[in-house]
Amino acid sequence: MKILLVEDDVKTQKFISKGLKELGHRVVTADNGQDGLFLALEEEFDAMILDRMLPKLEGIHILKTIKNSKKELPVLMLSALGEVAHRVEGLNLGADDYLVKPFSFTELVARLEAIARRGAMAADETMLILGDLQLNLLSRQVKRAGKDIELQSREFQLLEYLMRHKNQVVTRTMLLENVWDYHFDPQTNVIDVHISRLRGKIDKGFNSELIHTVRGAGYIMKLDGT
Amino acid sequence: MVALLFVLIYHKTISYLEKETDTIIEIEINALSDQYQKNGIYDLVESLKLKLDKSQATSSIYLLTDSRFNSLLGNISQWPKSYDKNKQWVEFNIIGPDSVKQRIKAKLFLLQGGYYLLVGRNIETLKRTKQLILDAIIWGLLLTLLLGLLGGYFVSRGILQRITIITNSCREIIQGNLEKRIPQNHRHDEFDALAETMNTMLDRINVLMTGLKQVTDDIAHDLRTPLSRLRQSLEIGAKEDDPDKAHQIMQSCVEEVDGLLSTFNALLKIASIESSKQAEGKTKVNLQNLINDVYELYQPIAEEKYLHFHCLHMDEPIYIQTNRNLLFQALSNVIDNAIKYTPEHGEVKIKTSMYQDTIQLDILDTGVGIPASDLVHVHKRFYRSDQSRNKPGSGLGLSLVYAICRHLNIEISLENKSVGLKVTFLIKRISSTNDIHS
Repeated sequence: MKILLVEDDVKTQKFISKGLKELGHRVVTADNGQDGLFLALEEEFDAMILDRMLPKLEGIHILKTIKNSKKELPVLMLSALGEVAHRVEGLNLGADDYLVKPFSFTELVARLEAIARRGAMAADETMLILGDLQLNLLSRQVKRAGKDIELQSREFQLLEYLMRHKNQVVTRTMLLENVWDYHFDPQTNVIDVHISRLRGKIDKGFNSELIHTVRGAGYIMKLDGT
Repeated sequence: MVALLFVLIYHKTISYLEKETDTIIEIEINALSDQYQKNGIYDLVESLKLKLDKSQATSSIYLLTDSRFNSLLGNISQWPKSYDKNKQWVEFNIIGPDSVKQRIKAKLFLLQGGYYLLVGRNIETLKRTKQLILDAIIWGLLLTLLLGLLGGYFVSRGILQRITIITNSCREIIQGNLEKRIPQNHRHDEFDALAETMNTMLDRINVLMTGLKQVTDDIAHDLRTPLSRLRQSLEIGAKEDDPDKAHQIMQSCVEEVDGLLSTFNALLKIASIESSKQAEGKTKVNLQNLINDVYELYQPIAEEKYLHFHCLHMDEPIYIQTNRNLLFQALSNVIDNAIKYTPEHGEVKIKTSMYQDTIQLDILDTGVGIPASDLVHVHKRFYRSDQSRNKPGSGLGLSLVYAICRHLNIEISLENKSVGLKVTFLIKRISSTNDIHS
């Protein structure tokens, strides 16, 4: 992916850009708002990482300008933990995702990949498929190797999100935000229990596992051995 | 302002007095000329003589002359020199009986037959009254000014003294005597109120500072353990030759750091909630849906411990104005604790009830409860009772709940039951009239 990183803090910029390059992405950086907005409008990128507090031009202003232009550029906003309402404001103004510092690099990458691929995914898909697992979004039926699987409503939503982001690492906070629609920090890993229940229905009794745990990061849905 | 008022009074009084004199003269001269016209010169002379007898008492002046201004009858010797044919009124001085100059105001009248008649009044008294009033006004003004200045001086000196006391006290505080307070003189005036407000402010700052110091100490103390653990692991990892084992150590280090980070995040979150404005991020929320969501999220964990985990709901939906993410965080922390501290096969219950516009939300468990001596401390950052010290957690969960409740205007209380703990939230409902409008 080609990623635009607009961040004025030199250390954070280096840390993110180095990490992304190691994963094989191309990174273009800007350390102020003006250059950032210019690059965002002039060049083509797969995603943009935008800091909220920037010299010369505020991140929120850049976000508004990009979202008002015809450009389809997924934006991941970063901010220092400040006022409670900032996140809501960012998302309302069209940020595709919002991450509060300090964050782990895995969280950043997972979210970046999720928003970058959202555009590539057809919105009117009716069938999600991974190997022998089929998820029918219309009839809400789930089948693995031809066998019907009964899922509760939340389990279905959870599986749908994982399937939509197959081959991508999905973090626990991403699941809480997107499946449960709450932004909060659980004291214990409540998500793990939900995943293990889902595993019991999707993977148990079949010869290969589809839901994998990524240590220190979250989960990934993929075919075994890929 | 006062001067203007005085001038107005002066002007009114004087013009009234002058007008009165003029009117008397005019009435008299008209009466005399009428008499002359009706009864002739002899009658006029007779009445003039009568008037002249009384003139000493009334301080009136009369003079009748022929056409060449030769005096015929009167109490002044000659026609005034300042006489002007075109003017009816004339003012002049005469020398009075005790050779004092006296001011006269008079009206002239030409009678048919060539006689001239002059009727006047001694206005010396009026003149003196005028002077008297003017003097009184000037003295009055001077005295008022003097009193004002003196009063102003004493009042402002008092105020300045009080300000100096406050300034000096503040300087002393700035120089490091943080216990110093501004003295009050118990007169219950505005300065006392100011001193009291400032003292309250200083007390509050002091409490906050002590709290901050406590938190700083606690952070240092609580983070030292995991940090030294991390250091140890890294040291071992650096010496490890087996790449598999080294990788494993690395992983555990990452987990340790994640734990540290989440502690910091919780601290930052508490700080950010405490410093942000109350109205932020509030929306209309269906409390029952929110409770159901928490319940559904924690249900599998409760099931793993074979807990009887259930919700007792009201029949109608309840709407409140709140920040849904923060409220969810608060409820999930409390339920998380309830599940954590309740032994297997126990019970955790969420119960909502309503009293007028207040919703009471109880979370009851059959766990170990909190020792009475610890109940007052649980909201403090990093506070952990002895029995929870060995359980996982940062000691920040309830601090966060308390911060959120303060922020959202929710009352929270903890109470030990015969078995387990009862956490009660009192939440204000949107009143039914608001309900229709929103």
